[in-house]
Amino acid sequence: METLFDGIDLSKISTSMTINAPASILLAMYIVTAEKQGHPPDQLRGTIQNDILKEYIAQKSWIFPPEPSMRLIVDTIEYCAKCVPQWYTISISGYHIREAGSTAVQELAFTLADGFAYVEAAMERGLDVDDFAPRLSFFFNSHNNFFEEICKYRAARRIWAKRMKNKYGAKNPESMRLRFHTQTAGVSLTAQEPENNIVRVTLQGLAAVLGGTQSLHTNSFDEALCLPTEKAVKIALRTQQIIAHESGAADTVDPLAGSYYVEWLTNKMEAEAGAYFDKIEELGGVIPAIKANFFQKEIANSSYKYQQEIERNERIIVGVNDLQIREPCSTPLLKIDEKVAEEQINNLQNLKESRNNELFKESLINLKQAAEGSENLMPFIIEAVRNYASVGEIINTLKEVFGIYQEDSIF
Amino acid sequence: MSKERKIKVLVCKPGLDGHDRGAKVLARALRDAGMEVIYTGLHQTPDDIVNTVIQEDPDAVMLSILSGAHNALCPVIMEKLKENGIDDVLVGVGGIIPDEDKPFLEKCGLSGFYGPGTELKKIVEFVKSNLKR
Amino acid sequence: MAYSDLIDDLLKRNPRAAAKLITKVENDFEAAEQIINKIFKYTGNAYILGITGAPGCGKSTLISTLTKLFVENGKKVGILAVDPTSPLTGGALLGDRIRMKENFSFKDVFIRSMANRGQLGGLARATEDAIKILDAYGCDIIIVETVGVGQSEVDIFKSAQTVVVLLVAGLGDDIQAIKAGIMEITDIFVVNKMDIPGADKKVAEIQQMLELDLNYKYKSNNDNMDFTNKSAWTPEIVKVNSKTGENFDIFLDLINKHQKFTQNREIFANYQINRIRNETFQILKHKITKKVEGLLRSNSDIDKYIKLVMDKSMDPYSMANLIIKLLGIE
Repeated sequence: METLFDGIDLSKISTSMTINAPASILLAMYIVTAEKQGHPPDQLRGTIQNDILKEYIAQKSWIFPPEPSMRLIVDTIEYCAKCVPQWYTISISGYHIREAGSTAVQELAFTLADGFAYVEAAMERGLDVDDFAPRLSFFFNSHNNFFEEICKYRAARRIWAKRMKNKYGAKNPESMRLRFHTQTAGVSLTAQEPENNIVRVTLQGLAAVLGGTQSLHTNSFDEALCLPTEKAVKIALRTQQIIAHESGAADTVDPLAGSYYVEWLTNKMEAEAGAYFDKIEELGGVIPAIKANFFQKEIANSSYKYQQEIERNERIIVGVNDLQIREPCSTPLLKIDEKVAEEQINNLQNLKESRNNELFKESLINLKQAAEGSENLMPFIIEAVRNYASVGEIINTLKEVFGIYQEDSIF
Repeated sequence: MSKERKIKVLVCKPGLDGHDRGAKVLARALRDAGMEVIYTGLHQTPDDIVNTVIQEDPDAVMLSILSGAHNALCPVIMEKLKENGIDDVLVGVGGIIPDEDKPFLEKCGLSGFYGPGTELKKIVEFVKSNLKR
Repeated sequence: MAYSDLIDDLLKRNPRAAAKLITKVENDFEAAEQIINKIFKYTGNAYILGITGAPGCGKSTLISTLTKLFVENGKKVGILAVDPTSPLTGGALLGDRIRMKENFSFKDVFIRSMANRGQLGGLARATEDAIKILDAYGCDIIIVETVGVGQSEVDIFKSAQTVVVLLVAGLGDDIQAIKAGIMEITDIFVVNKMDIPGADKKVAEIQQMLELDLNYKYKSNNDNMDFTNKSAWTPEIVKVNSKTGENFDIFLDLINKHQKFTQNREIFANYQINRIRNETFQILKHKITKKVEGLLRSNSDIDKYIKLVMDKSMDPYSMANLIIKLLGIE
């Protein structure tokens, strides 16, 4: 972290970290790096994705079981509320849920359900909703069906605002605002005729803007082939710059409001999401529903149905199952040198030899003890990081207390 | 009742890749085509996969790799299968496999590539028509 | 001599040989005959445990935890996990293997998934043959795991020395759904997920069922090790938590007790007789069915009989009697 931000003043920038299970550790490293630059944590701005519930549901990058993972997340929320007040502690994600094959309504419902689960967990810890809710943010997918996506975002904002106010008693308008980042749907991009993806990304980006997103990630057209080349990334960037600066689409708040179709569809999606909330509550909440494989089953069924629709030509993917012109792929691809792994291993070895190993060992002992109890773990993680404990060493210590999660595979 | 022989297939996710949407959809499609399917779940090491092949004796093994680690994982798996005298199993790979890597993987002994956009029925046909025993 | 290489390797505890032989007995009846012919004298050492229960009752976790205990006690374990074949597609998703939570060393535990292939598939015969192969392979304990309690399961469990049925609170009316056949041969009822409310009630329901329906005087008299006077085992009930391992010591103890019980000479002899009767019956079912099918397809007398039945000069029962004469079995 120190190497990465060498020469960059952390009090002057904001950083978003796409990291989940080890998010608390990465945040600790950021805080300690800033500390060494002479900046106290309250000056720091940024986001950690830190959304473990969607890992069990979709992305599958978990480490510990749900309960200790939730504890770690509430620890970060609590810690940041006090010490890093400008930090966005969770990016509650629907992107991955959609990529795993859910429908738009499922993405809407499952993401918000996760959000509410975090709110409830934090409130159970004794935090006042207005102390932390303004720093919760969301991350949605933007898929092919233009109007459905716009209505999904609108429904999400409405559901969140209403519930935060009516169910959780939020008084601060910032708690009711659903801030969200959107990424265009990677899964919708094709390996065949990759240039078509530029058009797909444009429409998806536009939908996100018209739906009110605060920030946008436009995918590169070679998404289905490899990690993106410079050229592909540049086109993706230009896509959103053109939408932002040339199209006027971002100049009005909620410009499609009042459209008979958009309002009808928004209401419909809100109602369908409501039905899912009821079902999840019947199962006892998000974590019991995860253990009962509820979300995973829904997603497995939706993804199978989607594929069958494509194969029956009920759903057209241009250039893939219709209007194909077969041509060999001539898109240049990005290659990663395996030497990078060797270098990192060497660096880590050197670090472990040059740190104060007495202090390092002691901080892990303290961390383990705290993990066995119920104290907020952030200060202990921060101390371990200060003594140059690695991510692996901290996770392994926590594994000894929390165990690892094993999924009950459903398909 | 069909007297056609039952085809047994292993669908595997080697390595750290957690993207299992395709593997699960494929497992279901193979089942719907009348095959007996074992899905190994995530995070399989090459040893895990080979040991499962030894015990389950499948007709085909379908690997799913979207993490870019195919050039590292596939040769190791094929080598271990060879060491154990397993040469009658059809091995195919899907996920994200760039065209330029296919010749190398073919040389390692893999026979089928089913990347983005491949129709499920094509994969089913591929399995049915390319069994090695 | 066909398969002799594979069989030599099997006896040397080569897992691939075991797997290939199991594939053969599953798919090729003639091959099965030749293989069992050769390996039969090497069988009889393994202890066979049958475990079944409805989907969702946590069978795989239970078997996983139990197997870990067996392995810790130095046993080599074989697991045959049977899953249903879809009647619509003829395919199957064999999902037990992936649900085994423990990471077993492949030297200690051999896991094989099988599809039940519908009623006509001869599952009981194939399973029995697979058991024999794992027996000759060197497994001390063979667990046969199935889903549900239908006729196939009853047939399979005639090969087992101990039959365990799993129940869970909250899964509906599973006690009523347990068919009489299975209930009569169950030795240990396990109520899994003992931490969820209703577990104790489930135990009481089972006790009640045993007392009413099967006329058992429900008190555990199995501590009396005087087997010369006992000819029956009163089914035991235990509640466990497969995830934490709670009460597995009691469960294992019951299994050991039952194993001791079955080793009593008379009990064991009865078991063997029933098992042999059943396996031979399964084999005969297959052979005779094949013979009858062949006959019905190719014998010209059959066509004559069919015409008679069509003209209502004869009914199907009488036709069947004539065919039995043709087969030479009266």
